[in-house]
Amino acid sequence: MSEHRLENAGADDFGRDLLDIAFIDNLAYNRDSVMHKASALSKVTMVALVIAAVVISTEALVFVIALAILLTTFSISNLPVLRILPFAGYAFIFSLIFAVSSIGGGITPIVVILKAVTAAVSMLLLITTTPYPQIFALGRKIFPTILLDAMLVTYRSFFILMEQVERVIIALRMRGGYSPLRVVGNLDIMGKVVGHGFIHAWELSENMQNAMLIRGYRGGMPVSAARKHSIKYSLLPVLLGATVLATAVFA
Amino acid sequence: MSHIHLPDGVIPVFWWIVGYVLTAAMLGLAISRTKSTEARRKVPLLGIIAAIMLIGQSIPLGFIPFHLGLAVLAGIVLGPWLGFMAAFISNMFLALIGHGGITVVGLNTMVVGSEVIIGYLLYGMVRRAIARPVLPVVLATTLTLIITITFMVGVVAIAQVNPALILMGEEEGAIRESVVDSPAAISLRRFITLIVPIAAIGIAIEALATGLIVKFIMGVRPDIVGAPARERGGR
Repeated sequence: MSEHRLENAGADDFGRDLLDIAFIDNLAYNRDSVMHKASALSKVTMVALVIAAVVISTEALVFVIALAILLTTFSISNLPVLRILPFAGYAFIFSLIFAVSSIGGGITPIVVILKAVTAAVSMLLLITTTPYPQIFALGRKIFPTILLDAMLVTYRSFFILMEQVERVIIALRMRGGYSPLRVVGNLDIMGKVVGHGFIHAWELSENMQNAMLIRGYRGGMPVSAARKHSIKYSLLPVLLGATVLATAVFA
Repeated sequence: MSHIHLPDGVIPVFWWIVGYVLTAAMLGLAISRTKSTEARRKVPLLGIIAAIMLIGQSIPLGFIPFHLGLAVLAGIVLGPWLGFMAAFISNMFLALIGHGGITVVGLNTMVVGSEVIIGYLLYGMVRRAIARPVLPVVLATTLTLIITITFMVGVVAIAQVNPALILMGEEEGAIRESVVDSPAAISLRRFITLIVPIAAIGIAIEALATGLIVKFIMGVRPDIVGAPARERGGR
């Protein structure tokens, strides 16, 4: 998928959510920086350390420092920070609901929100600098073959199906078939769109199944890390994660 | 639709570990119940249905903060075991884009997975009682969502208790103090007040949408949902 088309589609309110994964995938594959050169394992370790900090700490200052570190890393990673940060909006909105309903005496709503946003931003740093297949390659040791293979099919077919849905949505809009205020009308249309996509997906899976059988698939699709990673680059994310966790422990 | 959108750091460690352990057990059961040759044959379908769930969960329906979950549809088409795996895969992908925390994937899979399994079972029962094609889907989806949203609220309610203190047998006062001081301490009543109106609209939309999707599919490829899922294997 070309960057140009992603940029255009990304500007569209309806298409933006649909293109989350495609946009992120594009950044992970087509940008280059110190973080992109670091190994997937080192970045997953960073996320694990940040989440450990999020779990153990209730100090707002810890999360402010963690966010400052993560956002600085974003800015040196050749990434469009302002385009990426809205993805942390899911975490912000739902932690806000949780914070509003909180009666906890020992923790303030702002800390609940900061915890959520810090974890989400660390995850965003991982996925915008690491292609999904590299993350899946790490999963080979954890997940059963059927699950990992299905994840790879999900990842690959998502883009195929998304492109199809995108085309249908463009056709719908040109014919005035979608309006943000017409919920019932949208439902009827979405039922047809998803139903159409579903049938297309079913046929796609049948074709894929035949192709896999012909190629002698017996479980276990090959997954390999495409980039060569240097240890010196891989130290950076581990150090960042360790710093955040140390701040949480000693603050 | 009963996806717990809670981010990382708000559910106590004990409960998200319980979620992961239960999910691992259910996935183990699901894989053992799926014959290896059948599983290999179903990998593309499983992956693609998970992708469809992911797309459904990425499309906002107008001005209300709601998206489709399509878990019941996955249960009808894939059956309970492969459907549970699809629920895990879609939750894992969603967590990777910050749509729910990575620590909550286990609990989310249990909630959405239960939606798949209950939806599959209810659809089978209602379909035997009502001959019409779409109504059983709408009824099964509605009942399933009421059950699973209650389950989801139950998860949130349970998660506010600090289980470590209970397991250690602390005094009642200490437990109460821990609950109030816990990072996850919430007012369940207030939480329900916020969730119920959204859930009521959500249930209506999801049930209607699932019915409309099945109606369209039945018009074009009735074999996908027309035959009982049991005949297509995979469970």
